[in-house]
Amino acid sequence: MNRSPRVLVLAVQSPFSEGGAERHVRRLTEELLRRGVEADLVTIPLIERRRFDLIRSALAWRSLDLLEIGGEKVDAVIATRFPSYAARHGNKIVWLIHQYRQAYDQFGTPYGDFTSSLEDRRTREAIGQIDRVGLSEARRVFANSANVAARLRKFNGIESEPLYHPPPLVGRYRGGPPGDYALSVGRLDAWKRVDLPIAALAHAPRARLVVVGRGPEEERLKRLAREVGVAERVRFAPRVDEEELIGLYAGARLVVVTPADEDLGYVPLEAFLSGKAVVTTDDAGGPLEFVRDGETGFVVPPRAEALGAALRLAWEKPEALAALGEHGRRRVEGLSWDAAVSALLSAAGL
Amino acid sequence: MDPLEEALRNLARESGRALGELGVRPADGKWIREHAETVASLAGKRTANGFWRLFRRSLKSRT
Repeated sequence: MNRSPRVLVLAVQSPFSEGGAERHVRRLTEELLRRGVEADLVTIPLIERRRFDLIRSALAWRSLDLLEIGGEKVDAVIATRFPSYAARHGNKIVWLIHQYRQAYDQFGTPYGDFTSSLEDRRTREAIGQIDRVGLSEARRVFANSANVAARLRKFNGIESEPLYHPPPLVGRYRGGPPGDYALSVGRLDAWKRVDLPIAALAHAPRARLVVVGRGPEEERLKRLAREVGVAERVRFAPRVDEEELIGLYAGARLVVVTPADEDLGYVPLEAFLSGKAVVTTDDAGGPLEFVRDGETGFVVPPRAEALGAALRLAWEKPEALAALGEHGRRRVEGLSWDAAVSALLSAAGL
Repeated sequence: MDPLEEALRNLARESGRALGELGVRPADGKWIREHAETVASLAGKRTANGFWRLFRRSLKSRT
């Protein structure tokens, strides 16, 4: 090929919201450009007001003709989230961030709102079909983590290969002496379960907590902190810039990660690159691919008492934390965009 | 036939086939009507009957 390869990254937009997935696709596009690929990001919002909107969003992707743009061939597309992989292209690679989880593992849990109504059942069936069609056409399917790959195998019988990448501020995280707070970072959604570390403070009288993030749970979490009598030991930081975030990681005593079955989760990676130990729960999903109990942090049952016991230990015997954090750093320091981009381009034959 | 009408009929057929591929069935009446109404609205039509029939046939031919 005499010209630079032309690659489109296909991403789902969540208007008025910015999370790990949005940062991931933007960074992927930048990393492709940095390596001489003519890359661009194509986004379509995922509308979820009514059930049929989900299927129509898939139809919007399916209707796009991405074989050629501006009179020149598009050599490959890299689709990421449901339903961007419904797009048609002869050289489609999927790097799956996650499926539409409400139709699968979150069905029947407090985190999903599909019922047993006929319309909901048909929508779940259609989502399954969209996934089968869109993913089985792909030349290669990568998953964001072994956890995402396992879900894809379990629910759709589709094999994929975990492909990891470093967190957004790689190269800028720094270590620092352990401070007097545990750090929680992430959007304040119910399934992130930030109520756990807040309630845990009642069982760890010396521990303090800084909660970075905002979301629908914010007021409930503040109320909970007052109700369990720990409000004076919790600081909410809804908006922090990148430098503040790096500083908060560097100054933390340890980092708490408590989601229910996270896809991958940048927070443990960011904690380790800052030399901090991580305490997480045994149902956290993706974080468990990096956090090992007694090796890089603590893995406890998802209960406030158990988390509180780990926090108590961190405050009573802080000397062990540095070694755990250092093991964590070694565990993740090899993650690089070079390896991820190289795997994607090689899968596309570019 | 009016070129816009013809283009929209093609759109109804194509999108019907694509939706069939994505799991929509002829029995999903509410969804079919809603989609047909969207296509009809591009022609400024108040009713979607013509598109509804075309669209449903396209789904049937797919499934």
